[in-house]
Amino acid sequence: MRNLILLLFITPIFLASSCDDEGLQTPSGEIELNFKAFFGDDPLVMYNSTYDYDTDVKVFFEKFQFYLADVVLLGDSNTGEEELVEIDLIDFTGMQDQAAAEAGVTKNFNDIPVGNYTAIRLGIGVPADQNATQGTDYSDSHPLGIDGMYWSGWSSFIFAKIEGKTDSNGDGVHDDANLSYHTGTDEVYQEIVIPIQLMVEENKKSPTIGLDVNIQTLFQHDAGLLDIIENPGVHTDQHLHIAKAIMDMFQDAVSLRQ
Amino acid sequence: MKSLFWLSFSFLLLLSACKDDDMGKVVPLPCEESLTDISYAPTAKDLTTPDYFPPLEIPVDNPMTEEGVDLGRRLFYDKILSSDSTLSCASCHNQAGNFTDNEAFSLGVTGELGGRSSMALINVGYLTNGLFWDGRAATVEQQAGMPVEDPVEMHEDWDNVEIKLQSHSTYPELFRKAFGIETKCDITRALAEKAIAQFERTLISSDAKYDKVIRGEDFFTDSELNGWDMFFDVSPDIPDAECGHCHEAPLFTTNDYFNNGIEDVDNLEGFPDLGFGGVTGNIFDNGKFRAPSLRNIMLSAPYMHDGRFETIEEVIAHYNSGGHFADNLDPLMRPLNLSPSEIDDLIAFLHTLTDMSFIDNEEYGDPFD
Repeated sequence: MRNLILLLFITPIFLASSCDDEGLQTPSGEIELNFKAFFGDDPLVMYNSTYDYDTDVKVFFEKFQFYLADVVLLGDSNTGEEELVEIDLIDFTGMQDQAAAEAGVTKNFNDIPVGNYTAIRLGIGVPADQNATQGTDYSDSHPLGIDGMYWSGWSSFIFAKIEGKTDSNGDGVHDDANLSYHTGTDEVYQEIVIPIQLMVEENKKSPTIGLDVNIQTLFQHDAGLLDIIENPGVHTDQHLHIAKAIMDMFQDAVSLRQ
Repeated sequence: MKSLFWLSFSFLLLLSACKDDDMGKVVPLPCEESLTDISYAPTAKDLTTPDYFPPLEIPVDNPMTEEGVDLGRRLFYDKILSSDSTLSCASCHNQAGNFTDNEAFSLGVTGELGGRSSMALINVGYLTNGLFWDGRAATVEQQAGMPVEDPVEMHEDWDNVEIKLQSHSTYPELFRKAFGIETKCDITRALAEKAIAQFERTLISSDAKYDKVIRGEDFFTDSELNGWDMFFDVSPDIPDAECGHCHEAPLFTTNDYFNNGIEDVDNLEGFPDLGFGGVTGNIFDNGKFRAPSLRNIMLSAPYMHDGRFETIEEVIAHYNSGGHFADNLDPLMRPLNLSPSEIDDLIAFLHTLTDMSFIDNEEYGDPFD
C-alpha cells in the first residue's frame, strides 16, 4: 500500500518534469553554407585550368585556402544571433576538375533556432585571441592544428594561402613566376557582414546560403591590378602591405550567390 | 646407440611439431597452450613531452604501456622478423645514424637494394598525414609492419613471423604481459605492429641546442641566429631561405608532400619515382615526397628520398638554385641567391638541431646487447 501511494505521488511529478523538458526544447531546423571559388565568372579549377590574369599574363592556381572564423547568423528583433562556426579552414585545393569546382565546399548545421535571419557575419582569418595561440597548441584534427598553417616567423597563423604559377612570355609554360601569397597577423583580419533573407523553419532544411569567392578580385587593389610578376609572393613584413591589400579585398570578393 | 636415440627423438619431435593435413600442407605446432598463469598487469607508460610540442596523439586501441614498449623494442631489434634472420628494423634504422642506415638505399635480405633511402625515425609519434616517403602507411602501426613483407627489405611472410613468435621461448610471455593474450595462438601481426609502434612513439628528440634556446637555457651564436632568421624568414633585412614553410618548428616538418625540384622531367608523368602520386593516383602529386623532420639532420646523410646528396652543402646548393621546373614544383622553390657566408650561417643553425642525447639514449638501444 505504501509503495502504491509512493508510486501515485512520484509518477505525476516525473511526467510533469518530462513535459517541462519537452516544452523548453527550442524549435530548430537545418541550414547549409556552400562556398564556391571563381576566377571572374569561371569556377576556380586548380592546376587544370589557366586564366587570363591580364593581357600578358596567364595563371593557374594550385592552392586556395583561408580560415573562416566567428560565423554568426544575425536575426531580426524576434530571433537573435546564432553562431555557426568558431573556426574552420575553407580549402579549395582539391578542386582539380570542373565538377568539383562547381560543387564547392559545403558545411551543414543542425539545431539552428527557427526564426528570420537577416544577415550573416563572417571573419576571414584567425581572430586575435586565437591568433595569440600557436599551431602546436592544437591536435591535428583541429582546424588550427593543421600542419603548415602557423608561421612562427610572424607569430601568427597563416590566414589565407594562394599559390600558383604564371606564364608571362606566352610560351605556354607557367615557369615565369611562382605565386605564393601567405597572409597573416592580426591587422589583416577581416570581418564581413552580408545581408541575407533566411527563414529557418522547424525540422526543415532551409535553402542553401551560397557564398562565392572571386579570387580575381583579391588582386584588384587601389593602385590597380597587382603586378604578380614583380610581386609574386608575400612572406615577410616587407610584403605586409600586399598581404593587407589582398585580405582587404575579401570584403568585395565574397558575395551572396543569387 | 646415443645417436640412434637422438635420431628417434628428432623424428618424434618433427612428427609432433608438424602434421600433414589433407592438402599436404605443413601446419605449425599447436599453440593453444594457455598463458593465463602469467600475470597481466600492464603499467601505463609515462611519456614526458615538451610543452612547445603539439599533443602526442596515442590511438585509443593501442595505449602505451611499459610492457608494450619493452616488447616493441625487442621486436624492433630482433632479426626474427626477416626471412633469413639477418635483418631487423634496426638494420636500416640504426640509432647512431638518427635511426637511418646512412645509405642511399638499404640492402634487403635477398641482396637487392631498396628503392628509397630509409627514413629517420625521430619524433615518429607526431607524424600525421601518412608515413614513409610516399605516405603509403596511414599509421605508425601500419608502417611498422610493412617492411617485413617488402621483397627488397625483410622479405618475410607475416604468417611465418607469427609462427616464429608463437614458438619462441620468451615472446609468448612478453605478448601476454603487454597485451593480455590468453594463448600463444593469440600472437598476431596486429599485436606485433602495435608493440613496435609503441616503441617508436617513445623515440622523442627534444634536447638539441635549438630546444635549449627555446627553453631559455642557451643562446644562439651570431651565425646560428642569422641562420635561424633565414630559415624562418624572421627579418625583412635578411634573405629568406624558405626552409620553414616545409620544415616548421618545433618538429621541423609539416607532414606534407612536395616536389622540391630535384628531378628534371619533361612532364608530370616523367618522374622516375612517382612518390606520393603513386599512392594517391593524382598526377599532380607525382614526384612529391614527404618533407622529413630536420631534427638531427646533420646525422642523417645522405639526403632526399634517393640519397642523391651526400652532404648538407649539396642540399643547400640545390635549394639555392631553385630546382627544376614542373607544373607541380612547389611555388616556394625559387633561386635564393644565398651567399657562401649566408649558407654557412644556415648550416650553423641546422647544427643546433643535433640532439646527441637522442642518439645516446640507452632506452632506445639494442636490448640484446
